[in-house]
Amino acid sequence: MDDFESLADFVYRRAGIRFESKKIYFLSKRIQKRMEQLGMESHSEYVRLLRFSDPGGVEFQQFINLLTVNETYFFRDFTQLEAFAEHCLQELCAKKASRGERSLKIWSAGCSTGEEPYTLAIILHEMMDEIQRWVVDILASDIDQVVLEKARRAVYEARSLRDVPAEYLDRHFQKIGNGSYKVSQGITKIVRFEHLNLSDKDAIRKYRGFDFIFCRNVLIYFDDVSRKQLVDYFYTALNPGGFIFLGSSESVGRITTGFKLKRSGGHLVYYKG
Amino acid sequence: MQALDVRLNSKDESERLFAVQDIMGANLPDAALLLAARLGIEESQVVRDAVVFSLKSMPCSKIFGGLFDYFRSPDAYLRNAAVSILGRDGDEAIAFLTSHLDDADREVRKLILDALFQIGSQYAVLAIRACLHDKSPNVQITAVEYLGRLEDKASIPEMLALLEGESEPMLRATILESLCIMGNGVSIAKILSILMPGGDPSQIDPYYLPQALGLVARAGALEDVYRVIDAVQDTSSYADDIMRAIGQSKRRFKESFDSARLLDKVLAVAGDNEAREDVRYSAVAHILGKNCGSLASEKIYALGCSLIAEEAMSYAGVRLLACCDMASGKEKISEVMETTNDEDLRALCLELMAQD
Repeated sequence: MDDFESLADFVYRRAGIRFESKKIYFLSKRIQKRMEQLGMESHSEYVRLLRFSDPGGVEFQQFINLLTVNETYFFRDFTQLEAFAEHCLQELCAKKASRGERSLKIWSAGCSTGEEPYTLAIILHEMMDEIQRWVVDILASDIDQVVLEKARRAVYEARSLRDVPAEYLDRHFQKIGNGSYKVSQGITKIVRFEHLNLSDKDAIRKYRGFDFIFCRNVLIYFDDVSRKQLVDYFYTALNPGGFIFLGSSESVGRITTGFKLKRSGGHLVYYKG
Repeated sequence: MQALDVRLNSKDESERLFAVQDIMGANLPDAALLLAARLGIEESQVVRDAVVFSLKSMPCSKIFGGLFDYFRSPDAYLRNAAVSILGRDGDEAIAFLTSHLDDADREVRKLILDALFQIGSQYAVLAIRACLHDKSPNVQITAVEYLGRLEDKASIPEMLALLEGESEPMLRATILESLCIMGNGVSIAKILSILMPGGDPSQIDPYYLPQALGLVARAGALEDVYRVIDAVQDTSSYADDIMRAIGQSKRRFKESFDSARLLDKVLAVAGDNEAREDVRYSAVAHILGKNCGSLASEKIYALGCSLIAEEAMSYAGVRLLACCDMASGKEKISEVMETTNDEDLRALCLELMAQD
């Protein structure tokens, strides 16, 4: 138990990810798995390795990769994406176009294996008039290097594509055998992946100028203080009028009163006023 | 510290926001002073929000006075922020707050109560209790409400004395609500003797009927429940309260509760088209239960006929007709089956006829 608390505290300070005592089973199973790979027998031995024998943070990164859950799929939470595609995106693009602006920046924070940023890219292709006349940039970040590698490969099993509308599947994916699909180049070229620890304040404060931020089902790993700070970072990273989307069980309004709430085509959305 | 202060007062909103975060993380001795000063002039909502969040996480005894000044601010956000920060400071803030309970402004005294309620400790409760005798009824009402929510049973005698001695209706109603929350330990006999001098339930002021019904259902004797519910003349206005009181009494007294004794009231609620649908459905469910045999068939039939004429209550209506044990009831159900366009209703009619 002491080892667990010590390790949980260490993870929190380094990555901002909070593991409460009730999650001890979850954490210990994953540590066990890693210890077996390293041939270690005691938890304290592993904690010592992380604390004192891992100056470059290589093992810590491996450990984080084990801790973060990466189950996701294309077009997850369809209703929210509908609000984005059919209302927020149209509204923002119309405003920008009227000002003569033709650039659009989106951030998918905690992108995992890439399903979300590619989904957003597909939506842009389907919903924007003359997308080729726009400079579109989708930044997709995650703390886990392994998932980022997978995201860059852009190859997915059919299970991840279960909610992709059939016509989108035809247009934006190529079947490559073994039931796998590869995302087309037209989509992948507007998404760039970056390794980012959302608790690294020096790094995250540099992110600015986004029109949309998606950070869905990531805040569950954060405690109140880290969650609040992260959402405040998102506020500064957004352009005025930009929108933020959290997971359907996470409410922006409960974290900060800084964003404004409005109804957009039957959906409630938060934006920077 | 000076550098942080400069950033905190920067023209750039992001810089100010980051300064607040850095001050929070730096654990500086005078951080609260800097933040409280900024709070009063900050215009960005996101920065104000971050300042309040930070102040809630740090010791604020040095800025109690500054926060208290915000109680008089015309800006509701600042007033609420000051309450929430002081409310997080625990017993340390109580001495400061209670020393201002004689403030001339009753709104300020109410805000002090809000903060004390948030603290919620034993000492805070003592301070709230002192406000039961505030000169402003609004402050008294707030104190009563908070003591009820904090379930301070020690304040029950004082509340009963107020109930007996005060005439302000809102105050008396709030006392009854608080006593209702506290439930066990409340002397229902004493309350009823205050509400109905001479022991006649029909003497209860209709204004206090919802609380009286709630109280007897929660903590009264079985006979009190029957008496008070029976005393309600205006079943239409109190339909919800009646059905809630019956529901709670059934759960409390289980087999001992003789619901047949209140069937007339329930019948009136079920047939009242001014009452809410869910309340009426609950009344019908009560009739359809084991009470079905206690009520004259003609009454059930008449209620069933009137309910099938209302679209929202037609399902309840056919159930009543099926249970009235009269041939004319079945005929009515057949009529409904033939005339309705509602497939679900027709299916229900078929099911009820088949059961027969």
